[in-house]
Amino acid sequence: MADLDDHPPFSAASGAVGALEPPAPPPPPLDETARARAILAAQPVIEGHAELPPLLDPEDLPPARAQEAGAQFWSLRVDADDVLDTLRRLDTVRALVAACPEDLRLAHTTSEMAHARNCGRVAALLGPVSWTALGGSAATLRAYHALGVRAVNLTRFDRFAREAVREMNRIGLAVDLSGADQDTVRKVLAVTRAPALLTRAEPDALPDDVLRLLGENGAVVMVAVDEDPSVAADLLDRVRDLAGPASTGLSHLAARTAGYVPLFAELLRRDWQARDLVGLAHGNATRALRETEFLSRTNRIRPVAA
Amino acid sequence: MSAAERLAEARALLAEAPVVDGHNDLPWALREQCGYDLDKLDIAGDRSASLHTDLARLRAGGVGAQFWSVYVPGRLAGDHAVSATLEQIDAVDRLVERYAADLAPARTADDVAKARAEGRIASLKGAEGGHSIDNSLATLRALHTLGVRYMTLTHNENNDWADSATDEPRHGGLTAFGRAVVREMNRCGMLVDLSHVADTTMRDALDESAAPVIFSHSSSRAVCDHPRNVPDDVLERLPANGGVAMATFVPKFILPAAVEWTLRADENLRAHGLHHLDTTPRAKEIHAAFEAGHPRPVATAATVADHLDHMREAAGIDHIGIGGDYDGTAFTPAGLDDVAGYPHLIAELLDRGWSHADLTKLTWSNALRVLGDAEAVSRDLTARTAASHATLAQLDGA
Repeated sequence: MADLDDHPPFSAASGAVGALEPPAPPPPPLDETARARAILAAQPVIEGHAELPPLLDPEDLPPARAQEAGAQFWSLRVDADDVLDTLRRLDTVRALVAACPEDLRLAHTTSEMAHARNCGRVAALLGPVSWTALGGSAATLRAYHALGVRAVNLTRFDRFAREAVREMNRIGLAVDLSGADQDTVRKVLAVTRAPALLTRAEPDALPDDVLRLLGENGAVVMVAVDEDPSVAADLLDRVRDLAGPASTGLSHLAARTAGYVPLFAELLRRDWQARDLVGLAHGNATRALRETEFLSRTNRIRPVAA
Repeated sequence: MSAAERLAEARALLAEAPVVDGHNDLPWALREQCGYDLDKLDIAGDRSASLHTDLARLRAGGVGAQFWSVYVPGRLAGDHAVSATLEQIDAVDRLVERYAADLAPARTADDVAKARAEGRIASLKGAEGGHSIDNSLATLRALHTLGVRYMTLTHNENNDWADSATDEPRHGGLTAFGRAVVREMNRCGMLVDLSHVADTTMRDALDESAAPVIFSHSSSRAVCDHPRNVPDDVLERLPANGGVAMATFVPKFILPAAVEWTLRADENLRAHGLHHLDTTPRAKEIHAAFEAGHPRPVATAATVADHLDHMREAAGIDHIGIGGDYDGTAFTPAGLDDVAGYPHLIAELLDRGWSHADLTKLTWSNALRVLGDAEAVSRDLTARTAASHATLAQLDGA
């Protein structure tokens, strides 16, 4: 199998055509939980947000295998506004991946992401880094990209942002608008030519028209899932209605125990189609990342920003 | 043999065994002169008015590989030093990307050899001063991932874990954390560069390093007594270590009369109430007046050859190289005025009876061997040991 997207969302069981024997009686319909479990078994989730404990001793890394995840963005956000903390965090995530070769594999592209999954590993994507960790320097932006980072969390539209977004489009770094206010989101969407990500989205903080703009941009609004799946289901319903089914995504499990099955079952009860659930799990995020890569390839002829 | 014939022989030799130069400060010059805007200072054209380096002169000089220095000044500390280093690294990457027909990105000995086969100049990166990692081994590894293949342990100032040759002794060499930095450099495959460091630091680093070390731009202390040069007892340890000392061309380090002259010129500036590195118009005026009364002693290719003759005696033919420090020094020796000058040095050495085999080691193969050996040590250590997360506070106390 070449790619996540090539996986047919839900093939109807293909009965043998022209069979002579009378058809067996159809099996009883699966309940939503069983269907959700079947979907997730075949369609691993791309999680927008995974994080190491901030005070983790690098010698003491946690077990990394995440249930139901096929790929994860590892946050490199830092509280302090500096490059050094970001590099330390990056080094720790790389060490974690290196320490768990049976479970994790670093991925820089959608192809590597698919390859990791085909090898039975969870793909680890690096990012986002904090906007403040750039120090207003396009060179630092390119250094992060060279170090494997694939998303930057743009939280305010300062003077540097316009040029930075263009440079991110050029080199293939996704713009993460998690936590940005609606004014910033509008300004970034007016500049960027690649789909935005919201790896830790809080869509209830954004007005309807901004969600529609995100839909037009092809953005992926990745929502965290709580103990009570109906909260996330409500948020996702709103994202689907305003931005479209291609803009839904998942951030992380706030409560690990139950996994994503209750949410998917709830969405099935709300009449979500299987193909929309596949988009929610990984199709939409893969599409956004692939478009970012493609734009970068076609954009390379643009001169380097100073 | 006439001088012209000897120069032709030098050029022919360099065509086969081009120079691997240990240190060139073009990236910092680009920052100072054009803010990294290569449209304003295009090195595809003739830049001899303001730079020692451009593509045509690199070609004329027979340069086959260049360690571009991603230097940032020691006065930059902490995060600022790290960010400025990232900018310098980016500048080299953009340079190599822009002039891809002439420059080839290189991270390994194989890359360097491949670039020569393609007729391009291998471009490697070296960091100048441990302040560039801000006491963080994670940052050291990030620099390695970004292609930095040597780090000079200090610049002109001491840092928190190593003494510089040109500062008051503070640690007496390397601290425990300094030794951990050396081990981590061995592990990730970054050459330990001992130019600029104090003698005590040189000896500590040689004790600690499992891989060959380099001096990216230092000459012989015995020939010219300047702290930036390498004493004989250290040169004599290079055969056991496998490393290479790359002779530099900076007149105020290599010519005793120039050392003396520089001391007096600096005193003169200080007598006028200015810092000796001041480059303001007033300082330049005062300096010009001094120079009018005291002609500046001029080094030549023979001065550099004197150093190489001695370094060869002390360290052996397998442990010497060349590190011009072009665009990192105001003055250069006559005949070695810019990066087109290397053939004149080779001609001088031919004159002194150096064989082609010896010159090939000097210009090309010693440096390649050191790169390859450091890679082998790194492969071995990476397989056997985990990355270190030691901190300055843990090893040296708060």
